[in-house]
Amino acid sequence: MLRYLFREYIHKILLSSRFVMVFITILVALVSLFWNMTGAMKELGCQVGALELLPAFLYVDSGLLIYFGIFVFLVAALPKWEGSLNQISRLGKGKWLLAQYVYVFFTAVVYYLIWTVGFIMALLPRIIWSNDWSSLVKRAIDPETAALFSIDMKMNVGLAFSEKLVSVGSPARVWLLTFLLHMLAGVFVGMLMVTLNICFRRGVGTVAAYLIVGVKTIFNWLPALFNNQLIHFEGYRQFKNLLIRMEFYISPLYQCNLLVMAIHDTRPILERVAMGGSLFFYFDCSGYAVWVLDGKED
Amino acid sequence: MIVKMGKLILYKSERLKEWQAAAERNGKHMEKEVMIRVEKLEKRFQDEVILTGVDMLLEKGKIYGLVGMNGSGKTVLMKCICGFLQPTKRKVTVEGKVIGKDVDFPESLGLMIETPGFIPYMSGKSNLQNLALIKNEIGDREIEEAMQLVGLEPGLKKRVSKYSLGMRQMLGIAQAIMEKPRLLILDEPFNGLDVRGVEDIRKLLMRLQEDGVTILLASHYDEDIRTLCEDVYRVQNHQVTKKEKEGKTVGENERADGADDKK
Repeated sequence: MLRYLFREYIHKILLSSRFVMVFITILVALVSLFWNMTGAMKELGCQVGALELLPAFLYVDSGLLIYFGIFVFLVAALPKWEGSLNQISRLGKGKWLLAQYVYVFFTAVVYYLIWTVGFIMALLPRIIWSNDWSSLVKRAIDPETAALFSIDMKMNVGLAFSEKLVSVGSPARVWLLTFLLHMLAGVFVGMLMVTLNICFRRGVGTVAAYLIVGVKTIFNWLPALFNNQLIHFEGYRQFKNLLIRMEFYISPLYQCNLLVMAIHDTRPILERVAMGGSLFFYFDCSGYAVWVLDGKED
Repeated sequence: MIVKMGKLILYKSERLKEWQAAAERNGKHMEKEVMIRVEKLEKRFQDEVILTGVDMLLEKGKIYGLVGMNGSGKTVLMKCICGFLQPTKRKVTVEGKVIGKDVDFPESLGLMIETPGFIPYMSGKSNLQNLALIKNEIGDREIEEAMQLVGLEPGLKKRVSKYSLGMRQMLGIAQAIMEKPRLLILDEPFNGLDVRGVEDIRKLLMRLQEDGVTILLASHYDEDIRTLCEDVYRVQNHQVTKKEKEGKTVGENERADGADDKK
């Protein structure tokens, strides 16, 4: 069973065209986006730690949107109830479903590592292999240089640095905490997708996941679709305010933002909330899915 | 060429003898003659009735045919027997065990329903090795045997994505028989096969039957039913009726389900 899972997911994750395409796309995009920044860093004599930029990228809404948008695309390859009957009959329904969750888990791990490698490769000439905060981060949080940081660095990408974040610990610690929180959020979104796809039909989970990921962006874009008339509509304003307030509690993406947690000094509580909530949903969803598999329509 | 074919036939007959011995060993554990018992089964999807009042009794070591129009419920019935779907009412018993209650799936089952999902960028043998790892009951020798029995070359490095429809079908049958199951459920096993492939698979099924394997197959083609099946079940108007092979209820000169289409 374990050997099967290992072989199956090595092929599905590391060698599938979907993953190769995503890796190449991320690499090309990051190299192009950071091309100017690398030049500016060279001019200013700045260097950056290997693990510093990915967390900074993920603390910005746009970064989070891109990150989870592509993640949903990767997980959308599952599940394959149709065409998997020969596997299911050998594995059993429960184990098969567990195998799908294992895929989601491995995908979340590999995907985070792909981004990390992508950032390192994009900024390779200016990378330093040290566990102390780099001159770039110090420049970003220094009140004297922070105001013009983006312009000085010719940045094409939103990156968020904060003294609060630096106070959390070393870059490796911040990278690891960010990894854990993104794993939690990713696994939650992935499992929800798998479960919804099985309960209803393939595609429902993907749509739901994109809604979770993009709900904030969608609400920001909505007024533009109505010629900005919508922002004067009381119902829209109230609903958006409610959403912003509730996002803190309901969105797994919000809860994986270490920077926000550090700023609000709520990290330990939220970690527990996220962990508990995700575990609850995991058991709830998996139990439900196993039960629903019995009555799944063609 | 003739010598090569002779060797192949000799090899196949040797493998089939081993197969027979394995099936006999498996058969010793079977005490009941009845392989599958379906009683008054009903299956609905929400309010839509797919099957109702289905009675079937399949004895071990026989080949049974399942015919019916597209969408008549053949695959649903097969999935109920396999355990992929739970009947809305009543139950399915395989080898004395209630599916969905005593066991999730029949204990010794080989199946090919719909197009089997293979990893497209792996070879056929690698795909079978991968599937065999789940139960870990057989090794490379059995996998190669199964491939040779259906007419596939085990040493072929070609990726499955480059396989023709017929080759995929053969690979699907190979994965169904490789673990030497006592019950074989095949949905349209002859789809995409050429004349020789059909003939080879027919012979293989008949030999498996001689070895005591119970086979339930759905087919559109009358020839398959006439040649292979002891009894034929027709799925029509949500119900399943048994037709004797000699009864000629299943058209002699027309497609088994085509008769309904033409009406």
